[in-house]
Amino acid sequence: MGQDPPHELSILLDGSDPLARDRAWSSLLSRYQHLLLRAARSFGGDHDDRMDRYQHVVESLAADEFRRLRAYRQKGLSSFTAWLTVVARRLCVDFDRTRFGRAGRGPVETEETREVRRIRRRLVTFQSSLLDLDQVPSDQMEPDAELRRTERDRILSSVLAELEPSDRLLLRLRFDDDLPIRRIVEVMPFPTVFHAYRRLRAVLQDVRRRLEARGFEGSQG
Amino acid sequence: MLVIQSTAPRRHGDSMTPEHLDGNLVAAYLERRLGPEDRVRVEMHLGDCPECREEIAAVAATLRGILRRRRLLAAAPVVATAAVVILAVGIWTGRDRPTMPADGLRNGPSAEREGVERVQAWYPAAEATVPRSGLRFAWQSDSTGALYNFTVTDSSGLPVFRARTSDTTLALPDSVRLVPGSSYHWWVDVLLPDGRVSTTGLRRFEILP
Repeated sequence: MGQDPPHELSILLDGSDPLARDRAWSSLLSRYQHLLLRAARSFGGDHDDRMDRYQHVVESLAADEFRRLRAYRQKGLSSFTAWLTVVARRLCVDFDRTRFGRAGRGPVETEETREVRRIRRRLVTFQSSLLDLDQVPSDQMEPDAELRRTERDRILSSVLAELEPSDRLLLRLRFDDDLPIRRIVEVMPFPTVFHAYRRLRAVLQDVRRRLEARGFEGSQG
Repeated sequence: MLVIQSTAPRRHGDSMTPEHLDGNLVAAYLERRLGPEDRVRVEMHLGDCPECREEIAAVAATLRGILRRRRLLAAAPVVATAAVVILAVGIWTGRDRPTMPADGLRNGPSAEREGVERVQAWYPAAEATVPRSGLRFAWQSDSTGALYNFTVTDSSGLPVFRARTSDTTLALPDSVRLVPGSSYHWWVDVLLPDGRVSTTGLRRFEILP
């Protein structure tokens, strides 16, 4: 996509010739059309849904004399491409929310299904890496299972809260959000997937030690 | 130090979450442009906000797709040139094979063989820095009746200007804006009347700041 920020931006925002500004806007849209369409597509739906989202994004970017683009130029911290990707996605979310009443910033499940998924993943994936599941009593065998589970979750939460923010984020992405390592390194600043793997292993060991220090039975050595 | 900015309250299931990451922070975090203090603040927020995590992972995936496409586009001229050269060599070899003498030596002057594969790009020279004003491209004439496909791309490989001409010079229209200090590539693919092709190959040049 060439220069970043694109040269059209200064013509569009500073130019006095309306024709030149129109051309700059058309050129800018043409240059980033693929990005905007990709964002619109990522929320699903049929062709009309996607094009409606695309149209909404384009109109919103042009609204109030290109207010959003001016804000980027004033306080943008990233490349124009990255910024535009975030903004386009958020505008798509706004559009879908207005139109369909969906919550969240993506093509998300309901909160209920998300919570169920999250809990299931945490129990199955994360805790199984920490616990010997054979030692976790089943609901039917232990009448106080609910109490024990609550206590276990409380201890786990407090241990997680003690971690470095980056380590906690790593665990969240891996076990709550179920992201594979190769996608985590796109989000977090790990040089390679191997660094991420090593860090994840170290953090899990650290969590185990902390759990054991609190007398948490069932954590693996 | 930057702060996590409040946005308009967003619905999050039945509850309202009054704070989310500012879009600038999301983009800057993904591009590793934040200082240590801001990075920690962003990571603290992400650790507690599934909605922002979901967003940042989705943005990262979108950016990955965009960057992959950009790399492909950047490589396209090189690949296209290589394909043209391979095609030209193939055509030339095929054309010559029937006349190849028994001793295996090919007929015809070597200059012709070289000419089939490549025509000379004359101006701007490779790696030249030139003024935008009055910029005119020039290349070697191949043969009568040849058509020249002329292309200029920006440094990432995106076409800035394309034209087909029978002339061997070409001035860019004023509407084609080349940014001072930026680098570009140009090349000409030649279509000969007998179906052969040749190319100047890729030439990089820069516009005077």
